[in-house]
Amino acid sequence: MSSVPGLQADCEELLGAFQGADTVRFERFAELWRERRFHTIFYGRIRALERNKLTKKTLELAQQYFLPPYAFQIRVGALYLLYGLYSTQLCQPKQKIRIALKDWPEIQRFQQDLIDSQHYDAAYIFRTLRLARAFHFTAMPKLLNYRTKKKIQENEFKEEFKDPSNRVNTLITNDVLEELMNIHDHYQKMKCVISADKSQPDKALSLIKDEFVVTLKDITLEHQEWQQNRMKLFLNAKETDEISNKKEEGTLLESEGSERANALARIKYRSYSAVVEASKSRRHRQVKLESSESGSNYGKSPNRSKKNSRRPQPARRRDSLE
Amino acid sequence: AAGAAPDYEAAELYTRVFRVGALGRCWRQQLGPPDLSLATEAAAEADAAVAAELGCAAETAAELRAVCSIDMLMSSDKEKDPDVIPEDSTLLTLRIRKKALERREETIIVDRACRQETLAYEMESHAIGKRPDNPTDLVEEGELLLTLNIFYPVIFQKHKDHKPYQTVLVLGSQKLTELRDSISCVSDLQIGGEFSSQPDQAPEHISKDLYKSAFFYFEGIFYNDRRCPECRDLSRTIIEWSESHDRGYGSLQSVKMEDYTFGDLSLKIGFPYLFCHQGNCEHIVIITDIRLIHHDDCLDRNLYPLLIKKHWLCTRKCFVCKMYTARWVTNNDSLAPEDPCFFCDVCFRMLHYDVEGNKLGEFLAYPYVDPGIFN
Repeated sequence: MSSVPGLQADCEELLGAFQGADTVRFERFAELWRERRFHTIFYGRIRALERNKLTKKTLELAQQYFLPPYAFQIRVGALYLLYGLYSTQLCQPKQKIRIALKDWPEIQRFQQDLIDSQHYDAAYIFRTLRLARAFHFTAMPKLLNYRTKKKIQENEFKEEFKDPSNRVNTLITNDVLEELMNIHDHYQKMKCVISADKSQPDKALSLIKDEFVVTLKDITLEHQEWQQNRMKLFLNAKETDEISNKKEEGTLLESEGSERANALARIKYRSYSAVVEASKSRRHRQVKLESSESGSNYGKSPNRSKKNSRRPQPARRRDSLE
Repeated sequence: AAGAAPDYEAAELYTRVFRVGALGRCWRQQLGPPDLSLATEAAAEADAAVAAELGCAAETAAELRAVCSIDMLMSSDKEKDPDVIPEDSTLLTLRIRKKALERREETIIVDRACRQETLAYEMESHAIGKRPDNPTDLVEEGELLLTLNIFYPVIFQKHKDHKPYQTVLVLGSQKLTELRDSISCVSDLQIGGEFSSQPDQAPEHISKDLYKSAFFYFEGIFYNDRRCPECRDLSRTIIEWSESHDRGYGSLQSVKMEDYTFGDLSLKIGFPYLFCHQGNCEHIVIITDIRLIHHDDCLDRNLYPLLIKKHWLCTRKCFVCKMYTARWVTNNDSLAPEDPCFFCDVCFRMLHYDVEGNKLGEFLAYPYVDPGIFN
């Protein structure tokens, strides 16, 4: 199904504003919703057949923000958004919200979290939707019609809505660390058993670093902190809206797709200043870089960054001569 | 027993194999009576119940009801008419929609639903919420509803890339034979034989009566219709072919269609399967969705399998009057300007036979059933 033009932008704008409001209270969401008169999103002289299709797509879009990997606040916002869209839709009977079996346990957990954290309004709203039988309990989230030819729409959802992607953390979890620790201890014990001195392993058997599990844990934590700082930095940079070289910012913020470009951009960002010299007409609004990173150069870095982004690829050319 | 919930085998395309019945059981385990209820009205709620479930005070529950009410989402009465897009809307969706609607107003002289749209809407919604007079015909709570796309066999070249299809809803408790009986395909109505010498002779049988065999193919199993003695196992050829050499299809089985319901099947959602009848008329079948029945769905068992969408095929009209649907087709016709040539019944007789009914000129004539006959 093709998307409703403009809808993603509007939903993300609303959810972004909610995220910025730094709360999960429905009252605040309702305020933002009313400001935008969001209930009019279904308006327009549309006949019933098209209206049904439109409403289905609207609910389908909003529903995606309700599930991981989105941050907690966004998910609560999505819940409110679904509540608003479901209640203010014009279809009769109402179009439903689809929930797949595989996502249900996560949603249950979410609801329990809400109750445990005493976010009563959010929990109440989910409950209300459920009692109103606003859900279709399905096998899969979308209808599947083997559409191979149609381009599968990559919904480029905003990076800032997601919890910082923690692939390292999903790999090195607490369970994994505990398991590693156990294995390590066991290994040490085995070494002792076969050594002359039963209280410690022979020097000849010392093949790995004894502290490596602890080190691994430290590295993982460090990575997580770095990620959070990076996210904060991005949010700070966003506030100063005068970054004229949009491309530069784009490369910095893209999802893990273009890894190399990202890595390069990140290195450039850190070692040179991220600040691009504004054009003469906007010099009065030159960006000042405020960074908590040590070692970054303050002030201006004239055209370096621009040059670098259009750097030729000499290495490749050399290879092709072989 | 709870298996893993269905999930993609090919991302965004189709799922792994799973048992349909198990899906229903899993969902019913996870949900409570209010979720599964098919009552027209949901039960009203007391604050006390809210308080109990959320673990808050009763006053909080009352407060919640006020704070979270729908009224909080409606702004002032300015925008009562949903047909009118507000002038000063900040929503991008509305700005775009407004432009599109204005463009439509400029280019379309009369903007109302054409008959195809009316038909499509009617089909989609005519059975919504229908309840049977007889309570035994009421669909049960927790019943599964499957959505199937049954594709037309490719007849026209223009349909090669985007195959037209019908969409049918079936219940998990229904037998495969019920679906088989509901599939209307033009090949079933074909009348074999050349009738130029005896146009009045009503054909004895249509193909549907002569060739009754059919099968469904899902996940390595052929479900053959064996209800009547004339029905043959059409899948036997395929199974023998597969077993003759190591062709990598594993072991294919053949069973009786009438012994199985949809809930008994193991299948993938979004994966193309097959329905074959008339020996060689093949329809691709895709299950696009499976879910629990809802109180807003059609709840009359007798209406299932329920056709909710079909492709509109324009019927071929008579060459002479251009008004009526063609019922005859001629070949090698000395009286016709083209070969083949299509005629309605009246024009056919008027052109090819004299008042006494004698055949005029040379031609071959076959009864013609237009694919659009089901419109």
